[in-house]
Amino acid sequence: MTTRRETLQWMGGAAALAGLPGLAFAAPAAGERRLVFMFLRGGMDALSAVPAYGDPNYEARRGALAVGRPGAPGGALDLDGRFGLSPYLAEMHKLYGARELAVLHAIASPYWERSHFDAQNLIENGTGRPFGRDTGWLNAALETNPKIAGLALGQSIPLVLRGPAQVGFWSPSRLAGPDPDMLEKLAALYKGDALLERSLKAARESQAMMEGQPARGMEAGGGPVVAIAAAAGEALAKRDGPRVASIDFGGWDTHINQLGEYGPLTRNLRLLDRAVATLKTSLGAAWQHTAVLIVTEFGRTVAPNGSSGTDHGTGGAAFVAGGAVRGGRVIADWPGLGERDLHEGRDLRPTLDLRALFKAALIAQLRIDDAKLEAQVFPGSRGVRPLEGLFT
Amino acid sequence: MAREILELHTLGVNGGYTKADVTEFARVITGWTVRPIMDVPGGGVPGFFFDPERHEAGAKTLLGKTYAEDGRAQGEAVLRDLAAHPSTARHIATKLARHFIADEPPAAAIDRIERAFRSSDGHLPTVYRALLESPEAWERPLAKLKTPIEYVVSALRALPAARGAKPEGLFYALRGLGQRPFFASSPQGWADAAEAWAGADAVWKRIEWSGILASRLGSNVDPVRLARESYGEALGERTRLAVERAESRQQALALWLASPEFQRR
Repeated sequence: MTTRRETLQWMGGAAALAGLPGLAFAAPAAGERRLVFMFLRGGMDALSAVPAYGDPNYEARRGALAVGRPGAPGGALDLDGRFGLSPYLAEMHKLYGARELAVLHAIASPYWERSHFDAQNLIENGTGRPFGRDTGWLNAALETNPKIAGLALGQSIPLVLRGPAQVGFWSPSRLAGPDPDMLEKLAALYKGDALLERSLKAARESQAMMEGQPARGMEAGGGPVVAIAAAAGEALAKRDGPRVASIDFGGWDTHINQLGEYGPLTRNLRLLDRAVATLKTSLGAAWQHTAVLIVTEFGRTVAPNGSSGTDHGTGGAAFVAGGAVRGGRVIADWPGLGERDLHEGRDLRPTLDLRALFKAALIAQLRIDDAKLEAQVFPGSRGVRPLEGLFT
Repeated sequence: MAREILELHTLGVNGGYTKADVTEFARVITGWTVRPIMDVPGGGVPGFFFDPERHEAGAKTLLGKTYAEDGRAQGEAVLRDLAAHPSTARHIATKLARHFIADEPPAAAIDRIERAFRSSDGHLPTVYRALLESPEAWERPLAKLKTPIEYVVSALRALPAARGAKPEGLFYALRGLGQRPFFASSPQGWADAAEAWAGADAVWKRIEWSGILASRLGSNVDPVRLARESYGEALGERTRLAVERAESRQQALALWLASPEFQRR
């Protein structure tokens, strides 16, 4: 068995920010608007996170996994009389009350199959096809405006931020990095190897900028995603910091015993709630100008499986949080949970394309015009109109 | 699959085939499939399997040649012709030169390997000999940046103390360095150019990993000797001095593993 400590030792958890020589985030003209893309990998169970308690079929179809009605013990936190939030999302519910969080339901990518890899890949590459290209739409968006710097937080740079535009990278680590003496010596050795020299220089600059953040993040508790949220907020809050960040949050593929006090979904929802609250705190005044997109690759089956979990489904839910959001509402063209309403007799039928959300966010937060959206960011998506009125 | 065979494994993307050739080839290999291990009765061998029931019958024409219906042998005949195609010789020669010589491989070396491929009917030992005998392959400074798997494996091989390391450790190292085994993100496989492996985060992680490895194994090795013996004349003066003058054996080993020489091949 390999312990977690050994794992960290071997992989060297800490990492650095990628970039051009002298890069860092020198772009005072980038504007105040910020965009965070949080990807819940594995397929969040939308009907647990956002129970449709007002649907007459909800309780029967969900069986043991049904969240109680608002007011019942452990019941949903009401949103609009039709939908509620999971009781584990109390902080997000407060944001909803402050009109800083909107909920989107029955939303999905154009991919209606059930492979994680294909679905995630398609959502990230932006072409509407799995493996349609090997770069991501958020990187393509950055490419349209070199003043805007991007930062990826997590284990590695996710596809959505990969591409020609240089982006920073940060991951939490309990390990001390290489000591300054070693780095000085290496910098001397790398003279004469232009590639290594350039990358080490960029990495050191980025490390210096992020100094101290891993420790602070970890003190916030709650595991890596909360630490990551803290670091993301701090980086984004800087005057000359990045304006775009991605946060990877895995572990949502809850096939077995998903609920209950220690179930994986319960744990993840609590972490998500803390991560969002932490983002707000660490962004400080910049929260006002921020939109956080929280999406997943697909929803899960409406009915529980035989193991008190749920299997890969189709329509799901998404959240948009931040001061730049016109929140306090649920956006859903609700397809219903009746027998004939379900996609292939088992899944929530999607009625909204995730790209409509992504496009609206890019227009509002990064000021990307329609022509570039169609040509570079989401090729072949002309029929998908950006959601209107969701952002300030 | 038909496209991948043509584009990635034989003719190459500009190898002179059309979209129609791709679809025709796809028809040729209908019925070519894989039998998963659980479907093999009595513990037989899983793997390639030709299913005549799923094969589209009839003659097919591709790249200007017509192949009569012949079941599995029809596809094999096409593969034989593809292997002997001049575009394949050029494509394979280019890939080999890129992998073993430089990201932008010198034309003279590609030509030499291509000639060996064509004159020997694709006899691979002959092709590899032409590669090894190319003077460009031996030039310094070393041009190719190691991929993570090359980097990690070469480090572990260089370190006697790493013998007996657990395979899990190897897996975690590769995952951490961005090359999780068997998880290349496309059918094309892992990138074969330095650019893909030398971003700031990637270089930083290699440095970290070299430090971790050195801190675990560095106390029992003589890094100066190790560096000299494994790299010989390819060890530059600057690196040799840095290793000799390091503040500790651990640091010496870490410096050597993170040095430009060791990161390149």
